[in-house]
Amino acid sequence: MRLRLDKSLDADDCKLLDAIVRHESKAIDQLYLNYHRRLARFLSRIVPRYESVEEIINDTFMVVWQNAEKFRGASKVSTWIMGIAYRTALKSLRRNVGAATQSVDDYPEPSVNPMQDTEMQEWILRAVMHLPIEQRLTIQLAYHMGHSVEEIAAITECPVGTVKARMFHAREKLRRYLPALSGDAEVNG
Amino acid sequence: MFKAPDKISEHQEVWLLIPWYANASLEVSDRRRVEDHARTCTACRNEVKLQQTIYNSMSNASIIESIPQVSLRRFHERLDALEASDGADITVVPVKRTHGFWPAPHSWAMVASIAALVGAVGFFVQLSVQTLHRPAAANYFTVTDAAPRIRGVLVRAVFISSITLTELQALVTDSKLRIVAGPTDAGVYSLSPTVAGSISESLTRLRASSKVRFAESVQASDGQ
Repeated sequence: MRLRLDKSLDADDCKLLDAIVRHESKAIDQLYLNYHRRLARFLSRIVPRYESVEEIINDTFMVVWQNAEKFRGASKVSTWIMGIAYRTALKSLRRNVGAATQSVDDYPEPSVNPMQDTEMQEWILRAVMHLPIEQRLTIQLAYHMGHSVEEIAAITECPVGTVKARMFHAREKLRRYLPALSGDAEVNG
Repeated sequence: MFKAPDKISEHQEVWLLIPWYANASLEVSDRRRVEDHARTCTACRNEVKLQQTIYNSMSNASIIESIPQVSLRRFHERLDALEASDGADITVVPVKRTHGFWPAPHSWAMVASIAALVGAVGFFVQLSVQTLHRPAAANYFTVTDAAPRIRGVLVRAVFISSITLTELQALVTDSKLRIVAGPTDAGVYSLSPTVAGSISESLTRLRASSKVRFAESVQASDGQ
């Protein structure tokens, strides 16, 4: 059922892309509105300010507007657009790399018991923001957006093995940031 | 489906699959593989629990309310600027004419090149003169001359530039407000109350926060 819905949505997106190739502005408006919430959801957890989120979304759709004819249907339109947003965000984060990442040693010790739900959530979100850029984006795509490993590989244009490795390292770092969460679980893999 | 090697690498491979078990995106066969292995492996069982906790926290995290119409308007401004600059380029590109009395295309190219050269020289001379006489750009923004008016907006606020999205969302929600527009170029957000009659309380909360640079109420009449 979900597969059929996905195919139907992708067919609609393909029609919009065809119209964008003909420079029909209503089509780019429709695609923009269809994807704005999804992209904002993804980006709001990896860039610190709403202005930056909006800027990356608009940069993404400028690329879509100017390169729609280059879409060859090798992936779903949604994966293609997420890929553009991913690379745009990556560039933006690398420009501000000093502010965006800190080392493990910079991360403060929790002053309260993080096992309470809201506090734990806040600690997890803060810890994720301290991961290196690629690891942060990978875990956001998996846990915040719910993408499969294959989808993340397509979005990031990386082999599946690289995606798994980034996730592995992200998990190891989170374990160090959040010792109270991992309890006695031994580090494996 | 991934290959099934010996027991040690089976553990390692299952370990790598656990995040996608946690977000329920694995194919059925890989899902069963993780479950089968976790039954006999304490470390993997604990890791599944940990990753499910992290996944639940991240997937349920609230996000800032997106304002697609406002963003779309800014996108169109950029698109219009792009189209305008494309149009400017076209004026210096020689256009092929079919009328009999026009010079041949290569002659037009030469005329256009000369015209473009003369135009460029003229442009730079004019630019230099304007730069000498132009007053310095204003180093401030106004907060009253922004964006189209929105009905029912009762609070305008400017937050400090270092505020995070989570902090902004929490502050707005705690103040019983929601974002209906913004930020403008000057960083002004337009907010409306989520609870009737709570505007003064909302303002008090906003003003009490060190993350707020400025907050004011505005008229709730038709055009604010």
